Amino acid sequence: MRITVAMARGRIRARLSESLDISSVEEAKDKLLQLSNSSNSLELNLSGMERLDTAGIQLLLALRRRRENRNQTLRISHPSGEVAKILFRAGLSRIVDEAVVSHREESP
Amino acid sequence: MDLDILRSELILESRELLAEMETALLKMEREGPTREHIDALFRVAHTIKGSVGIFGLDHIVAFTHAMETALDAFRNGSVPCTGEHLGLFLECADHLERLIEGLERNTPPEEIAHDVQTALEARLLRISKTSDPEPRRGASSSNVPAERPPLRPEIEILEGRAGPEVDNQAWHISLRPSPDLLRHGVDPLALISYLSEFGKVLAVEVVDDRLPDLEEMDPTEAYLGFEIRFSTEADRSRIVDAFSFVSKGSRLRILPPRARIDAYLELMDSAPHSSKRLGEILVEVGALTEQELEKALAMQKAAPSPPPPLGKILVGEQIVPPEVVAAALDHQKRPPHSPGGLRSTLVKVDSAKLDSLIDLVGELVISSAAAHLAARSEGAKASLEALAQMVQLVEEIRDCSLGLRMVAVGEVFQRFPRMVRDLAKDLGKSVRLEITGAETELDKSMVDRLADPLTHIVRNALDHALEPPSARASQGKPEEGTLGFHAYHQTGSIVIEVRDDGAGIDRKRVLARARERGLVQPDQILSDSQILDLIFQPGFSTANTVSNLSGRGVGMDVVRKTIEGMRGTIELESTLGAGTTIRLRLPLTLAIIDGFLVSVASRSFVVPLDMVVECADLDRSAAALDGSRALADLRGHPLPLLDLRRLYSLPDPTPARRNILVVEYGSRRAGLVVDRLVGEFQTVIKALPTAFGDPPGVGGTTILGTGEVALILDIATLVQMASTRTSSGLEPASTGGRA
Repeated sequence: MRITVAMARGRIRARLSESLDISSVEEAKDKLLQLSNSSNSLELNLSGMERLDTAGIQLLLALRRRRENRNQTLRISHPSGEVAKILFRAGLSRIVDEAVVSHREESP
Repeated sequence: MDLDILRSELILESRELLAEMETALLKMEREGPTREHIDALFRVAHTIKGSVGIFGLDHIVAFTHAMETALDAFRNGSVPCTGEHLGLFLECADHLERLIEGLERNTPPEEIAHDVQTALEARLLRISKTSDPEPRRGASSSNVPAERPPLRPEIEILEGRAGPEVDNQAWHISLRPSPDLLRHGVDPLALISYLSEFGKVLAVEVVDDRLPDLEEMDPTEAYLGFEIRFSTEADRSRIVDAFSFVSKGSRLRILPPRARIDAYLELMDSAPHSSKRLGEILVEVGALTEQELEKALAMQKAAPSPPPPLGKILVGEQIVPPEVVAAALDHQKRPPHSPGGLRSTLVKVDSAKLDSLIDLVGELVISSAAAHLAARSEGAKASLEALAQMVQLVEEIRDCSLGLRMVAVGEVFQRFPRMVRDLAKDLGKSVRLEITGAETELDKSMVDRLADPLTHIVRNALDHALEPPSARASQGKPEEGTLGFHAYHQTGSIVIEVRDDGAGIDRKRVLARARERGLVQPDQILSDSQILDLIFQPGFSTANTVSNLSGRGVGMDVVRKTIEGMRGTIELESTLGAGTTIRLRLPLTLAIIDGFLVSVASRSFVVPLDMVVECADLDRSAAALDGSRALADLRGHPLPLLDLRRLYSLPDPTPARRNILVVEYGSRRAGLVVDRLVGEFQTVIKALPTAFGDPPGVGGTTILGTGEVALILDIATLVQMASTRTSSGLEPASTGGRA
């Protein structure tokens, strides 16, 4: 996984790319925790993410829960088509706050 | 689904992964191991283990498991990864390759270097043994290398025995993965995706009640549960099968359509702390209506201890159906897709189909040219306009379909890092490999044919050209030799250079050896390049001893033959003491070219357009060409000429005005003397029918729009002919250039 971080006026915008899966979640956890501890406002842009699996999804959910418990904001935005599909299939499209092109598929 | 197909996919995939592993290992040797690299290795071992496990290939499972365990010791930092370890893993990669090859050939496992495997496993075990004996929480594997991951989950079918039937036609599947499921390489989402193969996933809801705070979580542990509504015509065994490779410790409950309400109650009861939430989820996914949920909760109050489940079955050992294997393999390969089925972004196509497509596109190119010609001769303006658009599209189709066959030349370079490393090690030499332009594309069929000649060149370079470190140091060269592969495009060709900074070629020795072999007469005087050319003569070898690397009879003559068989050329440059460069020049594609049409004595000839430099008038004073060859003066530069009329003995009379087509191949130019310049023309190369024999300088034939056959000129040969034979001492013919 690769993370590119931009910081502006106390807000952190991080672009997660490549993969967030079982092979990279351990490293990703540390990085996300660090990001989460650095700002009250965090945005994760998933537009460059190619691979996401259950391990990656639960990491994002845990991050969301942590931020919610601390009244910190988290925006998950712009999932790539691939990621949008995966989230949709897991019934988790709702975790995305903002998407450029919504993923359309036969609704369940 | 055909098991054989899956097997060959497994083999293909494993090979790709092994190549990845090798690349990572070599990189680690150069740059030192990083966590990222170790993770990459782990992932390869893990993925292969997962795939072969499905086929019950226990010997490979055991081996990859041992690799994984050792890698895990590096991952958790209990053992530092050293260069020696990297060597071991390279050997492991080799052994895996053998195992995969054995799989391909159906060799029984015990016949595949069994002792090697035992030895390697013992060495791997030593690594994990030196690591922390306490397996850390969430360590992805135990310290017993041959243990196979448990594969069978506990499966219950809940039908219920009390209360009304729930009004629902769908199955309800409740999955609570074992904590280590993800670490076994199984992704529940892939399983859900697989369900879509034989039914429709109506809804999925994630149950996250076990999910801890980010800080406390072990991200490789499976925390999420899944509630799935699934509609299918298939029977329950099919559903059970779909989950039969989730690991032991996972809990799978399946509620058939019209299960009684107490089945749902039992489901909720199994998670007392979250039964309310689960109830809501069941309503959300549509398993129960609000009323049914209320009824169930009321029943729960009335009877606190639930009735024992009626249909509890444990799925025992059974052969996993191929569909499951397919799903698992698919999951290993790529991120899971939508419920619509397992779709891939890559399509594998038989190369024969591609070839026939390209053949057809070729015909299309010809017939569109014919249509264009016809419309033009009729002066049909509207048709011409419509055709212009069509020709444009045909060109695009041509480019696209040719693009399908193009692959990066890096595909053939891939094998060299390992080969160079091993050879250098064997020979006690230190060699750095440089690769540039690996992304340069050329036709797939050429990439395949390039592997052998390049291998031979590399072996030569390592064996003969690059000196041992001490010898290099004494010459003031860096101890580490450099071997470079450089690929790039140049005037319609792709050039592949293999460059070394070794000893260079000793021309005196070459000449002496050639005289010894009788390839050159004792009194014959040869130019520098002619001496170098001797290396390409059959039976020439200057190696004093036959090593096991080169000098085994397959010489540079075979290399040249292979390259020329692809309409390519090979050049050699060498400076004594400084190094050698071997340059292969190959056409971009074998099928279709943009040509320039010329005519001589009413016969049509096609010259590949990207080799045409300019056109010029042939001055009348040059009409006295000697034989077929002469030298023209093109703006002060001598230009060897080749008269096609003479070369192919075409009938006279020679027209009053003729033209020169200046062509270039590599760094050499020549002028072809022709009657008429017709213009650009797109053409499909067809092989020359054998009945034609092998006329010099003809590379193939094509059919013009008019139905007439034209010869495609092989410029490489013609330029060679023009420049080597222009020695008759003719007066230069002066020309009026009109570039």
